[in-house]
Amino acid sequence: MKTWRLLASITLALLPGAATAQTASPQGPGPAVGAGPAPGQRLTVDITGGISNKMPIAIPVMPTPNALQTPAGSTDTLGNQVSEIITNDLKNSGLFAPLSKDQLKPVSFPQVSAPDYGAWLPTGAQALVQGFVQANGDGTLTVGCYLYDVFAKSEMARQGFVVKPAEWRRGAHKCADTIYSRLTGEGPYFDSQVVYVSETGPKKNRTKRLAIMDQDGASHRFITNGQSLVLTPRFAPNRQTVVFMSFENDQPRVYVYDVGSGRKRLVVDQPYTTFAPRFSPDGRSILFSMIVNGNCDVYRVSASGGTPVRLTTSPGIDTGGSYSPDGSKIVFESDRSGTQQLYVMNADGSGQRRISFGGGRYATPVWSPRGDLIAYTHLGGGFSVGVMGTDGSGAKDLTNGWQDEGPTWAPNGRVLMFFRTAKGSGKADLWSVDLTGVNERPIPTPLDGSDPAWGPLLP
Amino acid sequence: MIARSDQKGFGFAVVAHLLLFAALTIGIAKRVPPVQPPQEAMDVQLVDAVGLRSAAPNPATEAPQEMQAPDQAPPKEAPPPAPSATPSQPKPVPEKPQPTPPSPTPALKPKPQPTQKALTDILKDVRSTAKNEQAGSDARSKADRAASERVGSLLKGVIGASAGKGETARAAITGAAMNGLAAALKRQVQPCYELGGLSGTPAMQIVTTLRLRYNKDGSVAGNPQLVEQTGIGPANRAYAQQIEEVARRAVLRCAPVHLPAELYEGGWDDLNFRFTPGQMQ
Repeated sequence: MKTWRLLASITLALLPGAATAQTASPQGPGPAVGAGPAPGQRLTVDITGGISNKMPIAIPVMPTPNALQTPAGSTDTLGNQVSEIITNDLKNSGLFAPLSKDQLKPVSFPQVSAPDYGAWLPTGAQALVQGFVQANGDGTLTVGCYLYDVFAKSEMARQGFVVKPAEWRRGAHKCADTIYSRLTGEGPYFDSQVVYVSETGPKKNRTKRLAIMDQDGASHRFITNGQSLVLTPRFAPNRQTVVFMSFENDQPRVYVYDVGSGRKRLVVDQPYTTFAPRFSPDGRSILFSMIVNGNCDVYRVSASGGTPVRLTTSPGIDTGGSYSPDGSKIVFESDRSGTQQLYVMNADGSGQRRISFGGGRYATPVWSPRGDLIAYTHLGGGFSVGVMGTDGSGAKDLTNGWQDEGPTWAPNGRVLMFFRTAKGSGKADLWSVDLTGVNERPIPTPLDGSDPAWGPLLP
Repeated sequence: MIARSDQKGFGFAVVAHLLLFAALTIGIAKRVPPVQPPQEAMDVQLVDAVGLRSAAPNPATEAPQEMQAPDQAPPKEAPPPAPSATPSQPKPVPEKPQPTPPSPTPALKPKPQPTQKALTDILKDVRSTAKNEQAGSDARSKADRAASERVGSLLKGVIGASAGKGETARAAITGAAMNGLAAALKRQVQPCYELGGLSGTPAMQIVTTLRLRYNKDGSVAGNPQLVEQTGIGPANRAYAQQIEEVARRAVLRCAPVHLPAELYEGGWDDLNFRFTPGQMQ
């Protein structure tokens, strides 16, 4: 990862049409030459109610200037694979409708920066993604990435990514992120990873292992061997560390695991049950829950260890703390009112107040990386995943499965991942859903999966 | 019995009341504020069902009055389109508009400056004429009616003339025809107003107005210009460019438009499109 080099070799060029269009039209009937008629005179046509369609987008195979063999394969094969990854990323977002392969036309290397707009118009594609894959003399690969507006006949973005051959997929994800962000106004999220609990075996004797994979399910690997039960893994902001709970020696404790070295250590070396860990946004501290004398409260401890600081004191069960992205507030769940509900407090534990007042119970709150929303599990008739404002307003369930729980935010705060347990079999799978409540879809994992935690965007 | 002095007083009172009434009547007649023209003469109603042709006025019934328009608002010849600039790069308008043959793509033709009077001006003129003619009358509504009748017939005349001669006639198209145009444009452009990933986001609160010029063949001339965006706040600022672009894409994708050529000048040659992503409240 350290050797990852990301060169924005070519600056992002914005749509020239948009740039010139920023010159607001003359509004007055003044003497400006070229001014139109007085404002009241021009007919105004009201177009009300936009159509909610996926945007048709063309992503043809990326050519290569020279077909060369690399450790990742031939560059012309890679061009094909890169365009496929971009296609899948955009399609999986639920916001785009990539053209099918038979609608796509071959693109020559010179055409990459000089698109044949006329040829794409009849396909109905509104945007066109072109690019190339090139083997560099130093052993790296360059993925060139261009976005065009087919109808405005203009370039919207261009960027180049230099990657090691082993990380060629990231070049494709970075390109997809560029396209996605430019067209939606959202932050990027495709070049990111997910840590989760991989499950297998009979219902009463499940083997649970931690696993890390790319957000699209690729590059999957296990990081624990399954000898002890593991739960609730969470990435540190630097992605080098994962904090989780393990039943090692039948004692439920919170551990920190170093992804690079494979070493793990106990976070709090005390004879109490600790669970529900989560890093602070700056990575310096860890929130967790600890049961002391039968009372469960939220604590904070330095990520490097030390004495825990108790943040809640109510006699009920206080757990599941999650920081706001600026680190100033914490949302957590508590049954102090009689049922599980969500509460917000200042980072030092002061100013605790309840924010969930809908019917049923609320659990596993997670603050959005954008800061504007809190995702939760809603326990009503069944379990569903939903979001509410940070003051509890506008609560809205996004899913309606038999048992949907444990939401985690994509780095851009637009997509949620969660796990769904099937009725009867108890088989769990990872799913994702768009913040608007659409595009619910399963995330491919080799075995069953639960407790996902989406990591931050890779640099 | 009424006393003599009372009778005098009564008579005086009656006279005084009559005088007061007369004075007030005249005063009101003189001081009545002029009949206000409609605030926005071209205010658009969403009347999808209105057909363009049928929205055009019927043949004039008061032919002689047609000539009043040129009298009151002599149309001047519009300067020919400037040597057309490239569509994407607005070129400063030449100091002396060269008389060149009208280009099929007058991307950024300079508008005639001292152009024909705006419709509102015509309305004003007509109204003052009507007012003069009706001076002294206490029938305010009558004046109103007369004025609107005159405007109607006036416009009928102008549109008939311009359609016949193929001359430019900005301000010559009736409100009904304008409504018809707006409805037809809405019908033709709406299907291309696709929000993509912006649907359901706070971007839905942003209303975007673009100014757009069409060529006579219905194609878009040059780049649509952003006039204004309203409804932008901290929650949706990040989407402002994208919500503008979906509006821009809508007019570009749903072109060329198909509209009556006789309503081009002053009708659909130069328009504002106001895009509201959400449904009307």
